[in-house]
Amino acid sequence: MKFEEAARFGTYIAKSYSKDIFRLLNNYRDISASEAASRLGMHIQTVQDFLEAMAELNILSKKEVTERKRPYFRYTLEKQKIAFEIDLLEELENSGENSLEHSKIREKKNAGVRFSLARNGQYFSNVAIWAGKGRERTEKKINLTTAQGKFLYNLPFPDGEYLSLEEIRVKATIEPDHMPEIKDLVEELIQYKVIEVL
Amino acid sequence: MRKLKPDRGIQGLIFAIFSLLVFFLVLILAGATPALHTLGVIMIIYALAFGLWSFYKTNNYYYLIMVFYMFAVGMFLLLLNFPEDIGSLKTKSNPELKIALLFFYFFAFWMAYVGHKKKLKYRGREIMELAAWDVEDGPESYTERPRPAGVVEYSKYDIIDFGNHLKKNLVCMPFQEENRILLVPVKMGDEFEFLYKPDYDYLSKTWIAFDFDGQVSVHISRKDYLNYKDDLAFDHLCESLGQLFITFADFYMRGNKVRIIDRLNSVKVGLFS
Repeated sequence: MKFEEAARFGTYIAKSYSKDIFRLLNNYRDISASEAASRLGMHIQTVQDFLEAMAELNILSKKEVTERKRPYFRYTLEKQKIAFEIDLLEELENSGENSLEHSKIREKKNAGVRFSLARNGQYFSNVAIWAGKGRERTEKKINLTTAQGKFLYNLPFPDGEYLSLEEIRVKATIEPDHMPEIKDLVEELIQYKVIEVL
Repeated sequence: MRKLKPDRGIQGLIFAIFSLLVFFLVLILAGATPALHTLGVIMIIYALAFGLWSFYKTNNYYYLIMVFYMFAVGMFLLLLNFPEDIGSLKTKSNPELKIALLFFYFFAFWMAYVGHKKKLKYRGREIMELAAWDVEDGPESYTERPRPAGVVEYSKYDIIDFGNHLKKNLVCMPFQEENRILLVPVKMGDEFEFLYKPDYDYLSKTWIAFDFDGQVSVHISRKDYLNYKDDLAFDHLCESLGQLFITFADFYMRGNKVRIIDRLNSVKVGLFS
């Protein structure tokens, strides 16, 4: 199951009425939202949303029917058992990881950011980014891991030559194991317009 | 062609202007002899407060010549009793005055030589000129971040010795941290802040850091960057400054210390800028 699907499923299954609706679905061959709502004494929209969500997750099937009135859906339980499994390694990869892998980056001109050196002066310990203007201006401070600090220390200057993440990693003598946390930071800094991508 | 803006600072003249103001004030209020004595006292105070303190902070022995020179001038002025008739000054001069005058001439000539050789000149301006020598104009791309500039293979004590040598020659002022030495080029006129400000914030200045693992990093302050006439390619400028110091370190380690000064002297900059 995809992470987003699991999150959606989890949200609905945590509702107090979910078991009652599933019980109805198990007992009836098929059931409409209004029938279930009247049977359970619930608002039809609540039941409708629940059934629609389950149908989108392929736990239920739905069939459109017309009986002297406007068309509506009848829902049938399709799965007796639901396996809830998330592959975190695959799911939680950085969203732009693959595109970043082949991108070249450098610091953006006039990024409006302050880099603070660690005590030993060999890498950065945090980055302070200012967002907004005038009185609305706020500061966001990102505390860096040692690997992230070393990476940023070696980030090309705004007029420097673009380098790939791998090139910067090698220059900064960072172990490849730290790349996920570096990519995470780079994505964040791209969003804040501190880093630009070629 | 010069890349830095012309130096029009008068920081170095403030003490001289102040002394002259006091001199003329006393001259008007009390006459010539008290005015000369006051000037003499001021010179002796300067000798101690500026000359000796500078020697203590930099280990540059030429400051001792300046101390003796200013002391001789001060003593001469203190011993001088300005007569009503200026023509009788020569006949009335006492032996102590003549000795003081002798010392004054001696140290004045020595000071002239020291001045000619730029032994008491802070070399920050030459360094920034040399760093910008080959750097082209570019879009304004300043960043506060330090830039890694290269790697050297010297021991911790070699790097410390190198820093001390640059300090003695007023090329840079070294600041030792836990894992590295920061070399801060000081320009003429900026030396007073370095000498007298108790919490001198060297990290906000332009610096070149040699860490004890051999990594060299460069930071250029916004003030120094804006002191260039044009916007220079910042990345190239930092790299160039780093390379300059790596070259200096190489000269030093190979025993060619004089090449450092030769390189600095190749930039024709006035004695007071």
